[in-house]
Amino acid sequence: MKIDKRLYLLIPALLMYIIFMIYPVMNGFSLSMTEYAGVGEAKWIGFENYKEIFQDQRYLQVLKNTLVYGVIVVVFQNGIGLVFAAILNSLPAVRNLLRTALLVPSMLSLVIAGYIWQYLYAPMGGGLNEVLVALGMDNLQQVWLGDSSIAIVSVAAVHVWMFVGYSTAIFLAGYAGISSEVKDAAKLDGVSAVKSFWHIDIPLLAPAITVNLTLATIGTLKSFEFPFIMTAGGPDYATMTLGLQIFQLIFQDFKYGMAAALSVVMIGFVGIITLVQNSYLRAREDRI
Amino acid sequence: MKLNKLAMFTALALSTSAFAAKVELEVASWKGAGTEVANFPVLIKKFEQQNPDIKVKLNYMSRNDMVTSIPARFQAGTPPDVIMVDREFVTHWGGNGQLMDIGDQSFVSRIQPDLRPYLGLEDKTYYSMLQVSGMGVYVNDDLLAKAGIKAYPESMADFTAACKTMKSKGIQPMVLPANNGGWTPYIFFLALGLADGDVPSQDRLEKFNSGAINFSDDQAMKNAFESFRQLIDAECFDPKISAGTDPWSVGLTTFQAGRVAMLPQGLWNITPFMKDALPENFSVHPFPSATGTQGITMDYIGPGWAIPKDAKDVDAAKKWIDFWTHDENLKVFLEADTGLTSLQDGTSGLPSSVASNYLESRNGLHYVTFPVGALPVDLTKDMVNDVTAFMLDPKQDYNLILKRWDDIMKKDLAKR
Repeated sequence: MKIDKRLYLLIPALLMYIIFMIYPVMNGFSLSMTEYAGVGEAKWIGFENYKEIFQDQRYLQVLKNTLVYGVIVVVFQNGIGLVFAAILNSLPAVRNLLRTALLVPSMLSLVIAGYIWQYLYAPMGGGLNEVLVALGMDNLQQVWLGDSSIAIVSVAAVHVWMFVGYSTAIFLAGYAGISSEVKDAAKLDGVSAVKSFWHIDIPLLAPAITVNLTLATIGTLKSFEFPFIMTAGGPDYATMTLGLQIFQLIFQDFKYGMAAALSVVMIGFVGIITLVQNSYLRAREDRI
Repeated sequence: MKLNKLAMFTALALSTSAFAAKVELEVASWKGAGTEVANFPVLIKKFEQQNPDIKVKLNYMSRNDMVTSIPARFQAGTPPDVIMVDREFVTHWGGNGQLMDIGDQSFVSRIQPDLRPYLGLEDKTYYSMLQVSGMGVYVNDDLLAKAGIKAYPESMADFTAACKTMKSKGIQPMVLPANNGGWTPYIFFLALGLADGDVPSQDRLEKFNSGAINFSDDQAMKNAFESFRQLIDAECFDPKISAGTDPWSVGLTTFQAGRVAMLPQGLWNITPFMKDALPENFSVHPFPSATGTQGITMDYIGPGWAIPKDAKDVDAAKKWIDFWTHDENLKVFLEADTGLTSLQDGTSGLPSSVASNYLESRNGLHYVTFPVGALPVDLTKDMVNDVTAFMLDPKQDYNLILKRWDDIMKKDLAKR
C-alpha cells in the first residue's frame, strides 16, 4: 500500500494536537477517578466522583442551572440579534454606526462588565432600580441578584447585553448574502415586511443561524465569569454553573479529582448538546 | 608592585566569594505590595540590615494565585524558602506533608498560649502566626445618634429594640451582604451559634469537628437560628436586599454612603474607612449575643510564615521567621494592617479611637473563632449556603438543617 507523502505534513500538527489536547483530556479523565488535593499522592477511587455527581442534588441543580442559563442566553441573544440585524439591514445609512455601537459592550473586559452590572443591580441605590423609580415604575423594582427566582435571569441578561452585538454582526453578514432580487420580487408581489422576514429572511439566513446558535451554545454552557463575579453562584446555588462549580472545587475546596470528573461531565454535556443541535441545524439547511 | 597585584587579586577574590555567599531568600506572600503594602519595605530593609548576608526576594502574588503556583513548585521540589500561609493552607499543605515542622523554634514560646493550637496540626507546628484579625459590627455613630440610641446594643433584645427605633426614624438598621458567597450572614450566625455563654468555650469547634458534640443537640446553634428570626421580625435587615448585596464592594459603599447604620465586616476595613473619612464618625463593636448580655467578637486566625519541607535556605528562612516574631518588628506590620498581635504582651495595631468597645470585649474573652480549616470543606460550604437560604426563608425548620450538618460531619469522620 502506498501512502500519500503529503500525509506526512500532518504529523507535526497531529503531534501537537495529541500532546496538548488529547493527552490532557485523557489525563483529566484519569484524574477524575482519584481523590487528589493538588499536592501529595492521588488516591484511586474509581467512579466514586461520578456517582456523587449524579446522586447529589447540588450537582444536579448545577447541571439544571447551566442548561437554563444556556437556553436564556442562546434564545435571547440570537432572537434580539436577529431583530437588530433585520432593522439595521433596512437602514443602510446608519448600519455601520449602529453595528459598531452594538459591538462596544463586547469590547469591555468581562470582569469590568460584571462589576459594573453588580453596581447597577445593587438593591439599595443601584442604577437599574433608580431608573425604574425615575420612570415611575417603582413596582418593577427587584432585588436582581438576591432573589433566587430571578438571579439567574439577571446574570444571563448581562451576558445577552454583552454579546448581542456579535450575533447581530453575524446575521448582518448573512443578510449580505441574500440576493436583493429575491426581496425585490417579493415586494413586487405585495409580500408584507413581516411575511418577507419569516418566509424569505429566516430560511435564507440558515447558515448564519447555525453559526450563531452553535457558538452561543458552546460559549454559554461553559460560562463562568459573570456568575463568578456577580454572585459567586448564590444565592442558595441559584446561579451556580458547571464552569464556576469546577473553579470552586479546585481553588476553594482543593478537590482536583472531583473537579476533573465534573469537567468530563461538562465536556460530555456540551458535546452532546452541540452535536444534536448542529445535526438538526445542518439537516435544516440541507432541506432549505 | 608584584605584591600589590597579589593583594589586589586576593581582595577581589575574597570580595567575590563574600558576594557569592550572600543568600537570596525567596519569600512568597500575598501581602507586601499592591494594595497590601503593610509596611513590608521598611521591615525588609531592617531585616537585611540585621542580616547582611541575606538578600530578600519578595515574590508577591495574590492569595488565589498561591493556590495554583505554590503546589506546582512543591511538586517540582523547588518551593520558595518562606511562604505566607493561613489556616486553610496549613490544613491543606501541612496535612499533605509539604510544610516543615518548626516547633523547635524559639518564636513558639512568644506566641499567646491560646493561639498556639492554631499553629499546626496535631503535635506539629507549621507556621508563625503574625496576627489575629477579627470581625465585628461597624456602626455609623451619627445615624445611631440621630435615632436617639446612646449605647451600642449588645444583647439580642436591645439589638432588636434598637432596630425598631431606627426603622421608626426612617433609618435602615443593617445590611447582611450575602451576595458572592454568603459571607456576612455566615459570620453573624457563627458569632451567635459558637457562643455558648458570655465567655464562650474555646473548644467548641474542636468538639464539633471530632464529633464530641453534634449540631442538632446544640442549644447555642438553635438559638442562633431563633435570633435570625428575631432580627428579621424586627426588620434589622431585609433578607432579599442583603442577598443581593456584595460584601466586598457594594456592601462597603452602601455603609460608607450612610444608607445603613450597621455593617458586620472585618477589622481590615478600619484603615480604608478612616482614609476615606467615610462614614465621618464610625466605631467597631462586637456582635450582639443571642442569649447573653455581653457582645461577642470573632477572631480570624491570621496569616503567617511557613517553611516548605524542600526549602533551599532553611537557616535564612528561620531567621526571617524569628525576626517577625519580635514585638518591635511585628507592631510595624500590625499598625499598617490594623490587626491584633499574636505575641504575648505584644502591641496590637487596632486604633482604640474607633475600636475601644471591640477591644474591651475581646480582652474580656467574649470571643469566638472563625473556623478557617477547622471544619470539613463540605460542611463549611453547606453551612454558608444553608444560613443564606434560612435568611431568605426563615420559616423553614432549622432542625433539618442541623441534622444535615451532622450527617455531613459523620460522613467526613467516617472518611477520616
